[in-house]
Amino acid sequence: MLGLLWVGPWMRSDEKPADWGQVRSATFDMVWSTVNDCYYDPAFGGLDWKAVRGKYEVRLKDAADNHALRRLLQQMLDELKQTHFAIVPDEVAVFTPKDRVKIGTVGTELVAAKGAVVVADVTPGSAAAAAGLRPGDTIRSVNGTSVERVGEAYAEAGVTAARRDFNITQFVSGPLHGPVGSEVPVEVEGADGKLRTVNLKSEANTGDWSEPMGNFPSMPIEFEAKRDAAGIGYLKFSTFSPKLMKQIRTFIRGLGANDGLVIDLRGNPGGLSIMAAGISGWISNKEFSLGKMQMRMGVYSFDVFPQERAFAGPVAVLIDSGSASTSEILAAGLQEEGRARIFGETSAGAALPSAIQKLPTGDLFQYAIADLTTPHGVTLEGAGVKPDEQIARTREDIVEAKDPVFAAACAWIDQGRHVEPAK
Amino acid sequence: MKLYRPLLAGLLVLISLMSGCATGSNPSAGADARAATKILKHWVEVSGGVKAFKKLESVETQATIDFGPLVPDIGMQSWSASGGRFRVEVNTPAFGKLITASDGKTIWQQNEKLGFGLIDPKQQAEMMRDSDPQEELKLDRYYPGRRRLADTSINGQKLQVIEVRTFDDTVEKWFMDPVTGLRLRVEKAREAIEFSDFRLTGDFTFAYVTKHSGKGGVMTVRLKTMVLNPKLDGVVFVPSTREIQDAATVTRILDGYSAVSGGARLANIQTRVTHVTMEMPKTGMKSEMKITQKRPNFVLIEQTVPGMGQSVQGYDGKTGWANSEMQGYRMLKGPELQQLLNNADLDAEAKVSAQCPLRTLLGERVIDGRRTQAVGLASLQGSNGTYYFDENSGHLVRVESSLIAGPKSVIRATMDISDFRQIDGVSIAFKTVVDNPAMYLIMTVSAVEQNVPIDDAVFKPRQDE
Repeated sequence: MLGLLWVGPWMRSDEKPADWGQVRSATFDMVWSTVNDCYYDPAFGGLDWKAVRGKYEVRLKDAADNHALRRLLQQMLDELKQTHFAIVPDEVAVFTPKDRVKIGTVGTELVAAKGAVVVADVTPGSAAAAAGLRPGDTIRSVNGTSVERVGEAYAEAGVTAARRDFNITQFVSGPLHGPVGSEVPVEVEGADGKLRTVNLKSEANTGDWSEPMGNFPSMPIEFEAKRDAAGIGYLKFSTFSPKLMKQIRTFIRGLGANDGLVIDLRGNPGGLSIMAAGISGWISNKEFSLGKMQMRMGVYSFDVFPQERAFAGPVAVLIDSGSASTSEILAAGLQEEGRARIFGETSAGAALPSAIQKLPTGDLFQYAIADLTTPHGVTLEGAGVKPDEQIARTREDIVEAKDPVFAAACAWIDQGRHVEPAK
Repeated sequence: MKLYRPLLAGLLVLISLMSGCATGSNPSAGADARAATKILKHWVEVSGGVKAFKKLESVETQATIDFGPLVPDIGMQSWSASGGRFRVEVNTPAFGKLITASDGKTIWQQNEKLGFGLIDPKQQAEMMRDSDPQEELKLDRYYPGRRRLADTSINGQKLQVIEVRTFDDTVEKWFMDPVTGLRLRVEKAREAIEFSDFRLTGDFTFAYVTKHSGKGGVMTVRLKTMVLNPKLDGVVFVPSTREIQDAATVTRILDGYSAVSGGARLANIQTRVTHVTMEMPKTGMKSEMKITQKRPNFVLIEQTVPGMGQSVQGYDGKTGWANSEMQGYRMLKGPELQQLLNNADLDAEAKVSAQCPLRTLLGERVIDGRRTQAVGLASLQGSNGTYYFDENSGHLVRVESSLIAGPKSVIRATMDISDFRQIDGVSIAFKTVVDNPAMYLIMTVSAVEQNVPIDDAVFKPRQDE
C-alpha cells in the first residue's frame, strides 16, 4: 500500500537481453493481466480493457528495447487515467546499500507555487548550494525541457491544478535525484528575474534510508521533530516509512497536555498507508475510520485504535500539492473526524492503495489494487483534500523565509489550547 | 445475527402461548407440589379450561418481532398442530425466509441462502414441548416435577412462584398473578420471558405480547392475528426427500473430514506450536509467523514482516488482543475475535459440523484433477463459505469464504489446502494458498511441535510499555 513513485524522463538504460522478444511479451502480458485480474473495478470505469490490449499489443513488436517498452506500457496504463499505475525503471530501484548510488541528491527541496517549481530550501554544502541556488529560485527547465510546457501539457490533458503541480514537481525532482555523479543542466530564474543555467551534479544521499519491503524499494528518508518554547510540536517526515514509526510515536508521546501539534505533510508523496491509522491512534481517544479501501473482492477499513496516553491537544495538518496518497488518507480522515484542522493547498488527489510487482525486464510495476473513499464517502483520487484554511506559500514568502501556512496553524493551535488555571 | 438464538427459543415459546393448563394426576408428592398443582389448575381454567383445550387441534399466528430501536422489526408466521407438528417462518432482513419446522419426529431448518439442516436431537425435546397445542393437557408428562416457592414481588406486584422440572430435566420458575391466575413470567437457564397484553381469542386468554431477555439481547414478539383450528392444507411440515438425502450426504462428508483429521485423537493434542513461512510472490514480501495454541482456547500469533516490525494477536481466555508496530494495541471483539478463536481451536475439524448446522450440497467439482464434493456451510449468523472435500481422502482441500481483516474489513478469498501430514495421529495441512485479486499468499508450515509445555502467561495481552 504505497505512495506514488515517480517515473521521470531520465530513463537511461536501453537494455535488451538476448531473448528480448520473449521478455518483452512476458512483460507486456504480466502488466496487462495484472490489471485485468486485480483492478478494483471489474468494469474498468467503462474502459474496454481487452480492446486496450489489442491496441497496444500490435505495437509491441516495435518496442526495440526496454526504454521503448516502458513507454509503451506506460501509455497503455495511462488509458486508465488513474494514478499509481507506473513502470519504475530498475535503474532507480534501490534494494541494497550498494544500490543507493542509483538515487543521488543535489540538496534542494522543491515546492510548487502558482504553477511553477520553486526551490524552497537548499542544503548547506550541497551541489545546489555550490551552484548558487537559493530559496525562491524558480526552475524553468530541466535537461532542456521547459517546465512550463510540461505543465501546459498536463493542463491540456485535463488534470487538476493540484495534480499538475504535483507532476511538474516530480518532473523536476526526478533528474535532480539521478544516479550519484550524474549531471543535469537546469535553467534557473532567480528572485531578481534573471535566468541562468547551472549544471547540478548528483551526490550521495548520506542520510537515512527506509528498509525495502518486498518489491517496494528503499528510499532516502528525512525526519524532523521539534517542540518550541511555546509548546507547539512540529513533525515532518518525507515519506510514510515504517522505519520512522517509532520516532513518530516517541515524539507524540512526549508532548504535554497543553501542547499543540503540527504535522507537516507538505511534499510527502505517501508510503505505507497503515501508518496513517497507526499515527492517528496516538492522537485520538476513540475508535474511528480514516476511510476504506474498496478492492475487487473485499473492503478494508483504515480503523484507528486509540492508544493509551494518546495526545489530546489540538492538531493541525499542513498539506500542499506535493501531499499524496497516504498523506491524503491521513489528512482527509482526521479532517472528517474533526480531529485535525487542515491548512495549506489542495493535495494531489493521487490516493489509490497499490502494490508492486517485479517484471521480467527487471523493472517494477506499480498498480492500484483499490479505490479509496473517506468515511463520508468522498473519493480522493482526482479530487484531493481541500484544506479547512486555504493558504498558499508564494515564491515571495519563500524568498523572505516566511511560512504563512505554518504561522496560521500555530495561531489556530494557540486559540484552541487548554490554559492551565493560575495557581 | 446472534439474536437468532433467542429468536429460535422465542419462536417456540410463542407457539406455546396457545397452551393453557390442564389438571391431571399429580405424580409429585408433598404439600409444595400440591400447592403448585392448585395454582396450575387455576391457570388452566382462566386460560380457557380443559374442555376448550381438548378441542384445540391447531393454531396459526402472525406476529412481528421487535429487536429494539436499532434493528427493523421482522415478520413471522407460525402453525402448530397435534402430533408435534409445527412450522415457523421468519422474514429475516439478511437472508430472506427462514423456516423452522417439524413433522413430529424430525425438526429441521431451511433457508434459500444458508441451506438446510436438522436440529440437534438434544435441542429437540424443548422444541417439541413448546410446539404442542395441547401441552396443557399433558402437564404431568412435560412437567413431572413442580413445587411452590415463596411468593415474591416484582415492580411492586405480588406474584406466586412455582418451580417446575421439565421432562428433559431442566428447571424453570413460573411467576403467576394471584389475582387473575395468569402466568406473567418464566425464568429459564438462559432467558427470561414476560407475558402481557392478554386478550380473549375464542374460549382462550392468550398473551399477545411476550418479551424475551437473554444473552443475545431483548426480543419482543407481538401477535397480530391468531386463528384457532385453521385448515392446514398446503402447510409443509415434512422436509423433502432430497433435503433429507442431501443432509445425510453432507453429514457423512463432515464426519469423514473429522475422522481423517484425527477424530478422537484430536482431543489428545493439548498444545501446538506451528512455524509458518508466508510469501507473497507477486509483491516480493516474505515473513515468518509462529502460532502457539493451548487448550481450551488460548492462542498467540506472532508475525515478523521485514521492514514493518512485529505484529502479534492473542487470546488468553478472557481478552482477545492485537498489537503491532504500525497500529498499536487494541482489543479484539465480535466477528474478528470469533475468527481468531475458530482458527485457533485445536478441535476445529471436529466442530465444523456443530458450528455449521445449515448446509447445501453443491455437488461434485474437480479441483487440480481431484474430485471433490462442494458443500455450502452456514449458521444462523450467516454463510461460512463453500467447502470442498476430497472424495478420496476426505480432506478439506479448498474453502471459498470471507476473511475478517479488521472490525470493518472483509476480504473474500479462496484458500487451497494441501500437503497433509500426520503428526502425532492428527492430520495437519502443511501448505495453504490464499488467493484474492489484491493478494496472493502462500503459507508453508516449516515446523510443528505438539504437546510441548506452554506457560499461560505467553498469551497475556502485550501492551506498549
